[in-house]
This record gives sequence, structure tokens and C-alpha cells, in this order.
Amino acid sequence: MFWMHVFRFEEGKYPNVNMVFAPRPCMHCDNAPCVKVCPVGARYKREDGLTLTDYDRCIGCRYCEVACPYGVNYFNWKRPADNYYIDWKNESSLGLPIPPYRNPDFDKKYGKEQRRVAGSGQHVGVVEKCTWCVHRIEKGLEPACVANCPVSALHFGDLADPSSEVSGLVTKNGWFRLLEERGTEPRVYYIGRPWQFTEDSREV
Amino acid sequence: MAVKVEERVLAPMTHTGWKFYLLVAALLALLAWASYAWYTQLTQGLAVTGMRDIGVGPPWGLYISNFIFFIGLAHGGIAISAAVRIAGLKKYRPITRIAEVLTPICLLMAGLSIVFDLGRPDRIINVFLYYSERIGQSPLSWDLTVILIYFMLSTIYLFLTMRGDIAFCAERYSRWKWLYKLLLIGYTPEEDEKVEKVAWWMALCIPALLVLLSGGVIAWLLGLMIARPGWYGAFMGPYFITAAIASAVAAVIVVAAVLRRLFNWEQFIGPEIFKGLGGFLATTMFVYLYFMFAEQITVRYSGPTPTPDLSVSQALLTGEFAWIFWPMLIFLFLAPSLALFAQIAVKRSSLIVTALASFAILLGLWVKRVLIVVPPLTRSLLPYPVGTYTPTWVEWSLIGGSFALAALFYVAFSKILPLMEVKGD
Repeated sequence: MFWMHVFRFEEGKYPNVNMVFAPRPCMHCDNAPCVKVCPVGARYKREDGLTLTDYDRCIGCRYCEVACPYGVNYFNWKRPADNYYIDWKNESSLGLPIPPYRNPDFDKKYGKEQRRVAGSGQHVGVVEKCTWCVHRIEKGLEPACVANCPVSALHFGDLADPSSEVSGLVTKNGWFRLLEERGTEPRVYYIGRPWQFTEDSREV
Repeated sequence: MAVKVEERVLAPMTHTGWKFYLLVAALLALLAWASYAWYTQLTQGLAVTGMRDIGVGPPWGLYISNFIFFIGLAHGGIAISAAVRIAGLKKYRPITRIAEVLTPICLLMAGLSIVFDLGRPDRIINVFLYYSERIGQSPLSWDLTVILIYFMLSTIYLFLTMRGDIAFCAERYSRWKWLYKLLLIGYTPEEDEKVEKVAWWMALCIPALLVLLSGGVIAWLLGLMIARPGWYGAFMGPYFITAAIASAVAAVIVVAAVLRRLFNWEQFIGPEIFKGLGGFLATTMFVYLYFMFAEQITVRYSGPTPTPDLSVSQALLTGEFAWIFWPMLIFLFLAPSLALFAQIAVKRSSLIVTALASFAILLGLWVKRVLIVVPPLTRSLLPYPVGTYTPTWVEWSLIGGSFALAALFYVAFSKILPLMEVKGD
């Protein structure tokens, strides 16, 4: 399960070729199409702006997945134990700590809404996606992708707070948002020049 | 003479031959197989289907296509019946109930297709529990609403217009007497006149519901999705309702032709009925073909710059779906529509040609639903890899199961209740 897809593609023609790495987490849109289409309210917008999935409510219709312009939703097609690279079927014999789908952090209820969050493949037949590591940020930690990025390409913080690191980055640099013209009001800002999807752009 | 007519009309209820048992056995065998497929899917997860996440495959596949197909079919019966009542098309009166029965059955199969598609069918009650909070926004909640209204309306309509005939059967046959008695609670022969009036008003609502369902919420289920090239746009409503009407009329023709042959109803279901419906079907199909052309030229004119919409069109016309698209267009749309049209033009019509052409169109419109649902889900606005889709045996089995169950319901109805109005003629 890789919720952060990284687009890697080449732009331009020799000798002016550029390689672009473009990470794509969930955009946690303010006008989220996935929240709108959900027939049971399992996909919801938290008061602080996170867009999350309540795994107790999801019926697995995958309408959110169809509605998302960014393709950030991943359905649990398989049963939890079959869903990982490591074969977790004989958990005890592996001599490993508990499997990710039994991470106790995801049994907890989070936020003002007090709802459980789909985030570690607990259940077959429900939709999951990037949660911005709600279980970490509630403990005061950074999302795992931000904490682990070796080149500090990713930053996380409160844009409403003008003194935060991300506010500084956004005011000082040029930025763009993905598929801005679709009106989804994404919360992820990309610093730099917008990617050009030309005829030459190809995924590698 | 009068007695003879009744006997022939009620033949399906009174005569049971080896063919009936063979048919029921075959349908039950198919259903048993489909149950096994569903068991596999429920225990293994939807991984046993060919559907996958965006960038790998389509998140929706045959099940949702089948759902849209059955919703389209559902309109046939009740719309023809409404036309008979409101526009006074008396000619079609003999086939009204044959057609009407299709409506509730098809709506049930549509609902079943959605249940097949769910990852957690055990939680389906949630759509009702959180209905009030979602009805303002979710097109799936809109669908649920209109389908439920449509189902209730069509069932009540069928029931009310049938009570007179049930009373007739209750007097003559003892076999299902308990059921007839149950259905006849509070019946008086005087109610028939009042029922006619009620049915007229209900029939008046049906065209509105038809527009609201196929021209509305079903089309908007896809057409409002800003994320999907090839779906998003105002065109989906007219496009869908045309396909719905065409498939519905085709289904009525096929079912009526089969029953006519099976029960020797030649004297009741005359050739003029098939001629009329065939001509209407051809006209609807030409409108649909024109819509398809309008859709494609709008997308292709913007080329050759590769927009996401163009990539969907290319997938259909020259890409991985072309081997389905072109045969469908030529053999299942153009050829049968032209055959139906030619019959009108030369003023000679053969029932077999009409029935076969209708069956081809029906099949084509099932395929077309797949080609509407799947290709836009394999392409994205962002440069993901192109998704691929090969339906698995589980999906085909469940689709087969939904048709077998529909047929079984129809056969059961024909055995228990009169398929033609006994009192009318």
C-alpha cells in the first residue's frame, strides 16, 4: 500500500530534458468531491481541514474513488492479511511485531468528531487513503512522509498561522495547486513552476 | 368462445409441461453457480474481480454497467403502459402487463447489481441510517430515492390494475387461492372503475419519473463527476434516457415475441404491435446514434493535443476497446436499426426479424453501458498509467445470475398471476 504516489516523468526533448518528481498525497480538498458523493457520510471533512474515512461506516461503493480527480483513494480489495508484501498469515511464526492492520492507533477515535479513521488496512471492502497521519499529528508528530523525506521536500503545517514554516514558504515562493481549475480547493501547495504535461511528458 | 379465449390467456397458469421444468432447472443451476461466485467474492474480497484502483484498473466495472442497464430496461413496461392509458394507444393494450411486470423485476436486479458491487454489503443499511444527512449531496442517495419511488409506484400500479383479474382467477382456480385472497383484501367489483381513474393519474407521473431516473439521477451519477474525462458534462441526461428507452422497448419486443411463440398467443399479440414497437425502436436508435456521433466529434475536434477526454475517445475508437466498439456499432446498433427501418420503408415486416434485431440492440446496449462506465475509469486527469480491465469468472457469473433471477421471477409470475388482462377483451 503506497498512498503517496510519486509521479516521475520526463519533460522536453534532448538536449533540454528535465526530470520531474511529483509526490501526490491526498489533497485534503476544502471542496472535496469525495465527501460530496459519499452516500453514507463515511468520507468526512474534519473541523481542522483533514478529509478522512470512517471505516465503521464505509460500505465500499468506491464512489469517492471515482469522483476524486487526483486518484488518491485505494480500496481494500483483499483481506488485510493478504494485502501486504509480507505474508502475515502466520503472524506468530514470523517473529515480527504486530501487522500494520492491527496497529492499535487506528482503533482509537480521533478529533472533535470522535470517529475512527481508515488508515492501516484494518478491514476488507472499505476505502482508504492518505490520512496525513492523523494518528501521528494528534500526538504532535509530523506526518511520516514529512518526517522521513531525506531531502526535506515535504513540509507540513498550518497555513492559517502566518508565522508557520509553511506560510513562510508559500509567501516567499511561487506556488501552484494540482488541477486548481477543477475547483476542488486542494490543501496541498506545490512550490515552484507548475508541471507541464506536454506531448513529451511520459511516465517513467 | 369467451371461455376458450380465457383458457388460452391463462394457459401459462394452467399448463405445465416438461419445457417449464427444464427451464426452471436450468435457471436454478445458473443461480446456484452465481451463489458460489458470490460466496467466493464475499469471502475473498473484491480482489477476485477484474476491478482495481485508479491507475491500475477501473474501480467500477460490469456490476455498475449492469445496474445502469437494468434501470434502463425497467422503463419499458411501465412507460408503454402509461402511453396506453394517457395517449390512448389501445393497440398495445394486450402487452401492457407483459411489459409492466418487467419494471419491478428489473429494478430489483438493478438494486442487486449495486449490492454485488459493494465491498461491505453487510452494511447496506447505512444508506438508510445516514440518508437524511447525505440526500442533499450524494448522487447515489438520489438514485436510491428515485428507484424506491419508482419501485413502489410500479408495484402498486401493477397490483391495482390486476385486482380485477385476480378476482377472476380466485373464482376459478384453487391452487394459489390463499395468495389471491391475500391480494384481494377489501376488493369489491365496483372498485375497477375507480382503479382506472387512479391508474390514469399514476400513469401521468410515470413519464416524469422516467426523466427523473434515466434522464436525471442515473445520468448524473456519472455526468457530475468532474474527475472523469468522458463523463463530465450536461450531455449525459439526454444520452442516457435515449439508451434507456431503446433498451426498454427492445426488451418488451423480445419478451412479447417469446411469450407469443411459447403460448400460441398469435391471435392476441398481433403483428401490428411488433411493427409499431419496431419502428419506434429504430427511431430511438437513430437518435442514439446521432448522440454518439455528436459526443465523439465534440471530443475529437479539439485534437490532436492529447486532452484526457480525447484519450477516452481514442481508447474507444482506436485503442484497447476498439475491438468491442466497432462490432457493437456495426452489428448490434447499425445493422439491426437499419433492418427495422427497412421493414417500415418496404411496408413488409417479419416478426422474426423484428425480434432478432431487438435482441441484437438489447445486447448492444448492455455492451454500450460497459463502454460508458469503464474507459473513463482507466484514464485520468493526472499522468497515471492507463488502467486495464479483464472481467473475471466471478463477475460474469454474477451478471449471469442477475439475468437468471430476473427470468425466474418472470416465470414465477406467469405461473401464479395472469400475464394478460383477462377482463379487457
